[in-house]
Amino acid sequence: MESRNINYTYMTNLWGVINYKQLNNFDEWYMGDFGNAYYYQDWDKILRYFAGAGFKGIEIMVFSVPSIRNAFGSMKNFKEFANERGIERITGMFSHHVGSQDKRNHEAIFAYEQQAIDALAECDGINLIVQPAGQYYGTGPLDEEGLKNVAECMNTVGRMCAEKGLAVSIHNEFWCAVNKYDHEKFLEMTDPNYVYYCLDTAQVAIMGKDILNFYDTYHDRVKYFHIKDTTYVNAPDEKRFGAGAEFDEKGGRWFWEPGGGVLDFPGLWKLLKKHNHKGWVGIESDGTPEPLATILLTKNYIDTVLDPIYK
Amino acid sequence: MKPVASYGIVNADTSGPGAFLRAAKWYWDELTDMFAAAGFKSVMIPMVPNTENVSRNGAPICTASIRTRFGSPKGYLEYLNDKGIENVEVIGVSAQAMYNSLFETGLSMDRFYEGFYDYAMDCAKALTELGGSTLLLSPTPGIGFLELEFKGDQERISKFCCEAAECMNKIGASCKEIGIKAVIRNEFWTLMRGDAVQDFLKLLDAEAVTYAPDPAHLSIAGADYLGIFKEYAGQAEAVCFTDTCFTDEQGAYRTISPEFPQDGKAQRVYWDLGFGSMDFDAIYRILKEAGFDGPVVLDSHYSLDIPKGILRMRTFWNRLEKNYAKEVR
Repeated sequence: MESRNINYTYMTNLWGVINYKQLNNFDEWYMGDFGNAYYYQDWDKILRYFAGAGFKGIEIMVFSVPSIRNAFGSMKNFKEFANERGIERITGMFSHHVGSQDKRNHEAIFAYEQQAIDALAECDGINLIVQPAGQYYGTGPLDEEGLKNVAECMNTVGRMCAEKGLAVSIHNEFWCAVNKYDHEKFLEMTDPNYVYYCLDTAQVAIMGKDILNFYDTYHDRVKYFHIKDTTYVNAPDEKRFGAGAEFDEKGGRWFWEPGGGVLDFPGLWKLLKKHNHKGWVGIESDGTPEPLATILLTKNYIDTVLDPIYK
Repeated sequence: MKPVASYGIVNADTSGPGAFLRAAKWYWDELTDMFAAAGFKSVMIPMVPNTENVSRNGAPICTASIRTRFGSPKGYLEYLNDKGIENVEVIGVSAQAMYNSLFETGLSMDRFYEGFYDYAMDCAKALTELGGSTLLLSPTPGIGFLELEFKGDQERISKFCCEAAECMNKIGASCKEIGIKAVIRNEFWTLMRGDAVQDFLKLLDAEAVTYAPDPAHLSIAGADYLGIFKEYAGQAEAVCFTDTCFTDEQGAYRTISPEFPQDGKAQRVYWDLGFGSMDFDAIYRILKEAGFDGPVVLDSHYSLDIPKGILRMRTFWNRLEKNYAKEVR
């Protein structure tokens, strides 16, 4: 087997919510409609698409846990099913801490996160990737006390993760209540022994941060990645702070597969090499209208642009 | 009869190219235009409880999202009117949707119907601003979920069913005060599936809550759907039209994934209206003969091709009217 410093894992949210374990009858989904629905509704095929494209890991959303349990009975069964189809590891799960700026919400968040942590541990995961607070609209800006509460919430969840052999990492959306003006400060308020950082390249660039500078400075904390591209760096506050900013009202696309936007991934890979980064690197392609094309374009970009720099 | 096109044609929680984009406002803008272009004037929205994850996106499927994007339900109605839709005639509220939200809200099962009442009345109040008439209630989560939740304790499940009835009566009474009709539906996977609805209806105040039969759900549950339509057509305030040719041979109704059967060759539950095996000509005749004049919720549930599904829905309704006209001529 090829010796690599990094392996790639793909966040599955680009597909939406996958309700079926396996579809058993092509005709039922084709005859009368003559469409392609048969190919996009079950884990069986979607896992094989990722594996077929050469990805060895996947990440899942916390919102998928109920539907996965519905389809498979348990997270462990899901993991075994994925393994049989060539996915070696379910590396991570995305979750969120809505309301964490208010201490009164912490107990409910911890209860919610315990479910997420248990589910992730059951499928032998590695990293709980957390949006640290709700959306900016209606929540931000956070005052000192609010930011401190968000950090304390993250620290506690970090300790809860550690008890199960997992890590927690901050995933800072461009529309999150923790935003541009608190970004580094917030990271420094969290406990480096328990809380890591998942660098979502597009989210952080849209927020207005130089991703190369950020990674170079905080590489000790940045242990995980969500690699995605954007054509829209440094979006103005009013775009990021609006209601439901993640979904542009006119349909404008925030996120692209690496190489589809303007971010300097070769530069970032040179820094990964410089800092001798090892482990899983996540790809996230939320918002693509064509998942299969995006997955294949991403793999080709890895093979032709990124691997030659560092792998 | 008033045809009401259901937004239930969209499965917001499905997978495939563009599925993720169903959370964006522009998607629903287009959908609204398509319903209007197909000649529908009234719509039904299946609403879910307000949670952060749904509220922040642009799909108008919870009141928080409507308030965020349009200022208020009244603001949303103005938007719909501008697009050629006259009103939201019906809002659906579902105990299963409520159950699904518990993972995110942390609400305990002990307070389930307390939360359900708040969710239903929030929707009912929005309905008054949306020019609507009917709150369509699905009273319990799926049997499979309840079996799991209560570890098969049938006594506890029966008690839960009684709590559901109490809650429906309370909602019915509150709806009456604000001029909204409360009606219940019985999906094939709930505690009042098929003929079991008859016992449940005995627990309800008929003055406050009525029954909206749905052929697909009755048929899947093995009930005589034409017989039930005959029995209730005279007193129904609303009815639902969903189509199917699904036969529940594997007992999907009692699993935790009833709408997405995981086993067997039959895994597709819903078909576009006119593409399943329900005898809608007979149902239409029954309703006409009973003098039914309420909303007919047209639900090409979870269509695999939504623009096509909307046009098929119009074709379906046109054909029904035409066939009946031919018959009575």
